[in-house]
Amino acid sequence: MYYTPADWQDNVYRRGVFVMYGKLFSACLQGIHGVMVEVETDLSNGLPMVSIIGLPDSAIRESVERVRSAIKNCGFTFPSQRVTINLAPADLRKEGSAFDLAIAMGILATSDQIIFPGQEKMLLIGELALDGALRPVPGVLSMVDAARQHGLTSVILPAENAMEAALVEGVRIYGIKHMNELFVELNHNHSTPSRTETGVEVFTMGVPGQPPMIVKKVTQAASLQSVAAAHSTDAELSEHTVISEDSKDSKAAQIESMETPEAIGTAQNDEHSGNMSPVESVQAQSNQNDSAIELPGPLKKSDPRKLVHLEPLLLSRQHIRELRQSAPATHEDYADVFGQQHVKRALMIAASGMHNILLLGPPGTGKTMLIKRLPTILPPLTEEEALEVTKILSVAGRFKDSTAGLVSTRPFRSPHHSITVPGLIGGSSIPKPGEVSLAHQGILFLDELPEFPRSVLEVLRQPLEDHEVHISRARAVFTFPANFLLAGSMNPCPCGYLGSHHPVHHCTCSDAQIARYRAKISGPLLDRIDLQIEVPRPSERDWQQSERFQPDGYDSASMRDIVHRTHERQLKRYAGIGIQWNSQLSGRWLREHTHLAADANLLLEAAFEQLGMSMRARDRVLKLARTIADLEEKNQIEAVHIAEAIQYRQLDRKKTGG
Amino acid sequence: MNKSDLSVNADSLCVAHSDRSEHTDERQDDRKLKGRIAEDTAAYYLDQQGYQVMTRNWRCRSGELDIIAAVDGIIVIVEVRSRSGITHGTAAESVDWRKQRQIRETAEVYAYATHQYNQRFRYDVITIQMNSAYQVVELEHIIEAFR
Repeated sequence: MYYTPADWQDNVYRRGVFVMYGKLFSACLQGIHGVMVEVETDLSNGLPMVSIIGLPDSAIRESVERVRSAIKNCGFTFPSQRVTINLAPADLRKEGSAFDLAIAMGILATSDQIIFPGQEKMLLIGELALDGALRPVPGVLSMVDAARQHGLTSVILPAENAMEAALVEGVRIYGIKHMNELFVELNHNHSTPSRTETGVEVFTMGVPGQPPMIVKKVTQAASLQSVAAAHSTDAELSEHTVISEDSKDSKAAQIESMETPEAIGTAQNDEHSGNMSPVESVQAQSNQNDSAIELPGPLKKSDPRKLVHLEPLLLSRQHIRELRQSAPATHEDYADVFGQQHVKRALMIAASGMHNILLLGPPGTGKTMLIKRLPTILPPLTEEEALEVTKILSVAGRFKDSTAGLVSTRPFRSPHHSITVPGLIGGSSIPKPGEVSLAHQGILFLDELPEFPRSVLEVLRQPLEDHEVHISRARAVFTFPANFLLAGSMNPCPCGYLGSHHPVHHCTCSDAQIARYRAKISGPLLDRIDLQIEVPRPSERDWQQSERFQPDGYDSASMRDIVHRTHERQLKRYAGIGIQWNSQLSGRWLREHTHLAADANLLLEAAFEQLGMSMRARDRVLKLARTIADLEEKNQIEAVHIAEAIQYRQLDRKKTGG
Repeated sequence: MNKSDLSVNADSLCVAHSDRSEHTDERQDDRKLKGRIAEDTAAYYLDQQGYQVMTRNWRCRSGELDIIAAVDGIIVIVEVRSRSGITHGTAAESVDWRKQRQIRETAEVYAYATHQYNQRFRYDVITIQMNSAYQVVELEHIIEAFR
């Protein structure tokens, strides 16, 4: 049971005890998803203390101190009572500083210092500074999305997060820089007694049998005594009741004029307006027209409360559109890379079906350059994917530029090879998404693959199959999506020149060295990489061609066209079964969608036997062949497609060939 | 708060300790005297300010509350501190976190012992500056010094 401003008086004094209870909504993060949290505030008499319950972490426990200072510095009083704050659901561990605003507003509303219309449809998130300013928090997108699904219509949050929250459609966004922006005085000619007086009163006082002494009276909390008096004795209380009785209807009407009907149109208010006398209705009507914030009647003289007035703070869709900027275009293009047509084709296949790729070659042949241009040919993110990718970035605290809207380009992550296991798959005691999740729906590029610690590379095996990461902690299991294209590059041997036919450098590595180097990438990992491509040193012919700038048809624009077409073929074929890429095929869907021509089937079986391929490798060859066939716009997989797919597994063959 | 609950011990308001008595342990006695003067002055001041002093030196096993007063329906627990020089830091500084905790705990016992469960409480600190002749020079009243 909690009281809304319109009927607070009915609940506030029951069985001789004050019922001081308020409930607001906030949210916290669980993995990459937002979870709604009810912030309940209860004030009761007794020794002053504040307790926060509902499994809060230390950032939330400390929130009391921030809230205390913020409330004081906004000209309110922190109630000197027993304050209990409950974060429901009570069995969920909460973390982060996003509850500050909800706790502060809950205390202010419950101690009856503010009137907060529409609080039951409002999400409040934000960290408070000691002066009442709001600091941005991570993961706003997920929280606002959760609020929308929960049926809330409005969100109050830090101005820095407003654009990010605005990415969720159908929710009214109120971005504020300071908590004070929320409040307006209920009436302007109300003299605020000792509200700003937090100073020292100095006077002298005579003491019997002593010389007069200097007295310094230090008042910490403003208007403490007046607030206390209003709630203390029976006589004063009944007086208060009378005032509110008079003003109740007009207040209800007032609230209606503040908020749009769907936000506040509750049964209580209708009831009250039903009881209104004609005069009051007219008053309310005129109020509605003026949309003035002055209240008529006895409230004017006595009500020191402030009203939460949100309309001027609304972030309009018009304004959002104006603020939106288009993301800057990249200047990288495959036309910059000369020659290497077979690698470009392989990259095109990889991008079309999200197949993992490994480039193998001597130093300086353009492996890194080729992979860095992979994002330029990837199909754009769908709306749903964009929301998911943006949520992950937001949770990781990496979504800084929210003015550009949802992330529209596929992520490209290239972590340094000194990365640790938690850094790659996500970790810490309260897990944060790792590089594999940040690369979700995009590319994870591991440059110089053998330089990564083997233990780090091996953790990739599970996300490469399942397309998500489960991180178990004592408190909970967190699941982060991790559907990425793994792109790697490596040298053929430690010195880098094995089999390069380089005029000056010759490979100086011993067989044992080469074996050790190759062994860093385990068989199971290599098994999951569909395209293993050698990138040779460009020949003299390539070089001459490049000097004449002869187009070879492998520039980003034309490659992108082919990739998009191929991707659309897949989308059309897999519509309704929840996959998008050939690489995601498995089991029944794989058998169903890979029609092999007779000779293709023979070829595959022969390769399976002779090369000693694993079952997984066979399935992967099938999927890759499916993409190659799609690239050629063929419905049936032919022998050439299978042959091309098999020849891309070069390292596999080398290993089996001895 | 019922007014009849509040009784002021009028005797305690008189500040009658202006002479220094000779005693074997003079330092110990001086400290007691100083504290007594400070508390008497504080109680007198509170009375003058419209507070109703209910109890003085309420003791229990967890500690002592110097003055318990009532104003506007709030029970005010007052800790009185005095100093005569400035060499040992200010008196207000000496009410550190541990002392605050002790006062809170004692106040809890007090509230329980006197069956005042549903009252509002407030903790004030009064610091008193004395000169060498044990005369009060300055009184500082910090309202709601801690919670």
